[in-house]
Amino acid sequence: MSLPASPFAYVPGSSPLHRLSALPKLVWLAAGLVFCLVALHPLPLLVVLGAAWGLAAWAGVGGPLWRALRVLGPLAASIVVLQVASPSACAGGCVPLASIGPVPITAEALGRGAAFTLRLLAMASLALVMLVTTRPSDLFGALRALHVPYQVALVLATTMDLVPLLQRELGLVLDAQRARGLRATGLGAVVPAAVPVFVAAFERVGRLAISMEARGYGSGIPRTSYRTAAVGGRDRALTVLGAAAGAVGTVAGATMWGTGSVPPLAVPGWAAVAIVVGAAGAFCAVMAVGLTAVARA
Amino acid sequence: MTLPGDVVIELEAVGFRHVAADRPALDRVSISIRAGEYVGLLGATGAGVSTLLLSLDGVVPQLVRGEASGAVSVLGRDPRVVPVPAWAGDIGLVLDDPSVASTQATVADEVAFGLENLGAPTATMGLRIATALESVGLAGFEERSPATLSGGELQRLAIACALVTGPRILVLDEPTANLDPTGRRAVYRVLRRLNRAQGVTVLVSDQDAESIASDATRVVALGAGRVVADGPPASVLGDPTALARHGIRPTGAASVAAAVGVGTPVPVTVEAAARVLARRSPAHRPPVDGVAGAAERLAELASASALPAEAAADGGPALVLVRDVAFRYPGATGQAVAGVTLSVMAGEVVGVAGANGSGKTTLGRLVNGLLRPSSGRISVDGMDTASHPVRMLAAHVGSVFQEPAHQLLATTVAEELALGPRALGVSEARIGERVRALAEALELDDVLGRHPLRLGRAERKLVALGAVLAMAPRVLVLDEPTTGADVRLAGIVEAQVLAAAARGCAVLVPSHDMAFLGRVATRIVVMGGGRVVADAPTRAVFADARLLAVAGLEPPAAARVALAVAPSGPSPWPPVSLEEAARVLRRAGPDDGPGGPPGSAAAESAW
Repeated sequence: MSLPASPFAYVPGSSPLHRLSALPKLVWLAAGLVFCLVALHPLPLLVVLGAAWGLAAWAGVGGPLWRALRVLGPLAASIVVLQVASPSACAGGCVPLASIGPVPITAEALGRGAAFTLRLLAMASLALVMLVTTRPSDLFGALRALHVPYQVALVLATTMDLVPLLQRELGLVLDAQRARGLRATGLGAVVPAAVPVFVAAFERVGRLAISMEARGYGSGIPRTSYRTAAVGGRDRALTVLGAAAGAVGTVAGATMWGTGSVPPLAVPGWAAVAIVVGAAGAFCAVMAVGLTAVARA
Repeated sequence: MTLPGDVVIELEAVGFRHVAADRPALDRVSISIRAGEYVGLLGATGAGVSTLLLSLDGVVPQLVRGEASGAVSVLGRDPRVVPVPAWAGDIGLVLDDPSVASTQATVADEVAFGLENLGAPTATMGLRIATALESVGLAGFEERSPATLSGGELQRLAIACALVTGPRILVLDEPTANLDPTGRRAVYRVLRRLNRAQGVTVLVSDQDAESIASDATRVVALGAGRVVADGPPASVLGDPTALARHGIRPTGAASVAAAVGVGTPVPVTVEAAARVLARRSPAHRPPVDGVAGAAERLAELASASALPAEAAADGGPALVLVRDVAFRYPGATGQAVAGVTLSVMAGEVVGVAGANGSGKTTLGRLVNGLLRPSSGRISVDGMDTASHPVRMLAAHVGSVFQEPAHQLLATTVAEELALGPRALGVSEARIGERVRALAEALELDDVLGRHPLRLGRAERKLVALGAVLAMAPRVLVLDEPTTGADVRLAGIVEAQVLAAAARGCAVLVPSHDMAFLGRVATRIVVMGGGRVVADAPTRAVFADARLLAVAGLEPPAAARVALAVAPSGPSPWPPVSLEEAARVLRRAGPDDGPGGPPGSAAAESAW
């Protein structure tokens, strides 16, 4: 039985991004994420988003990234709706563009919504490109090189494994219960289904612990690593460069785009309405698809 | 360093009681095992086999808590004191479900895990990983993702992971419980080679004694936590009646031989049984024109499967009709099943056999409506599965899934059995009756008040079966109903399947357990690559060696013994069950053999 892979799963490949060792990738990712957090202006965020997509296309992982963002995009876009609906959105002198019923759409709210959405998408895209081009074991090697405790790194590994696993398990439980003629729709079905899912998960984790300890995990002997021996001079240089870029980016981002307020987004009234309605519609569509997938009856 | 013949494992009056258990899992067990031995452990569910195996590297009692007594010594150290990870270099452990052990992105990383934990130098790892993979027949799999491996390959990977640190002892707890016959054979071939060629001491448990009979140098049988037999396979397995008393399934060959009336110790392997039986009945020495016989069988088979499926049963209405069905999982590249046409009549039990991944489970999920065909039509009890919600179909088709925990959701077994009929609006009085009747038939009386998920897997499966039977469906889909089941549990399932068919149910059983299918199925649908490669009476399928080989299957021991005695024989040939084998072989041979009366006790309880 073939099941769809998790959007976070490693996609094998041989692109330079795949071959680059995990440590510089992690440092560059951190630099990018920090930059996204300090920059308020949508323009630099758009550039980061574009760069992430460029990297994904270069590494041949555009497909998985697109699949993940198809869901994440509309969810992020709902921020636009929230910003518009928020009563405290305006600090005086707002430019109303249009209104939907009693709710005015202002250029300021639209600008903030667009910037938030872009920030989320840019950060998620960067992180996903990094995740899907890095073997989990390399990633943990890199976390270890950054002196993250082994247990924490391993918890990260098993958690990432566990999420799709729990999803799959939940699907099987709901199926099995529907086949017994029991009401399996909506949240009413998901809650009782959680019991066997967690029992199965606990049993699995228990067996995983047995299997891992029996293979020497926790022996107290300093661990060696099969893959991370490849941290060469080039990787070290890239790591240092990444750290420097992060520092420069943070300062630049904060001084050039990090002060003041988010610029308003002045578009024609009809376009403003279209953006808000479109965002709300996409959000509802994704939620509806998600909920029916969870409890198909 | 141990030398062959040195005692490596010493158990003295070992006892163990799990937390909150009412009786001990191990009760004064004393065994000593020497380097280079290949020990097969047999025992019914709950007999203590797993507990014994997990005691050897300290998992019991360090990770699985309880009250321990007696003394264990492995390689001169005490596994109750030495931490579990410290055993990794000396003992390799392999559990029954290989999929849980995998945490890494590639096969090589998975194998490297043990070396990394023990601080092996990075420079040596590549070679050690390659060597370990080669010894289990997975050379060149280094960069594959474990998720892409078959069950048999995954279990061999688990063995490689256990081997890579160079242990002299390999402990395997029902390593082939979830594998198809091809996967099983591959795993046992690896164990045999490791033991014979590399001198690795092997301890392996299995509910099915076939492979142990031919490979082990010693068999230890446990019953209720005690050692009930210990010796060479020929002597321990040669007494099927004694094993059956402890709920241990003897080899099919031993059961046939005992039923025919061969004296104890009976031959335990198919080859040995065939030799002995052929000697007893000279009339059945394999004829020279064995090839011609095979051609005849194929012709017979072809004519049998050329009959329209509807005509195969004796007139009952078709409750399951599958017409030219194809199904593709979303996002999958190929079709999981394609061009599948079959029918199941009222009162008919149809087995679905095939290797892992051949589409058996998918077919079951199409019939119960959980999956809707991409093309073609399926009707169940007159209802089109595409146009009826699964919940409505559930009153007509009852399904027991491969993993029973998924379908259990009540807090007690009694409630679990009542849930279905209550949803159907059956009166409480009638529900009470049904629950009582089912509890008795399924021997669940003692556990009615327990939480279903606190039972073992095979017992959960019985509860799931009971919960489905309680709804009195007209169609049953039972996916691998005997996985991990001991003689008693398998016997209960068999009785329920036959009783359901006698009531007029149509039963579809996707299963690897050919002995079980031989006993219950009137027809077997053989699947390969998502297609039906054969749909014929059980006997014709068992007779078709070529078909079975292509599908990665083999007939049960009863048929194999008979076919080894003679490629063809008095109709019906080959026998599909133990009783039939006993009958035809006895009838065929000089029935005044010196073996005495047939071992009927063994024949009744054994497989």
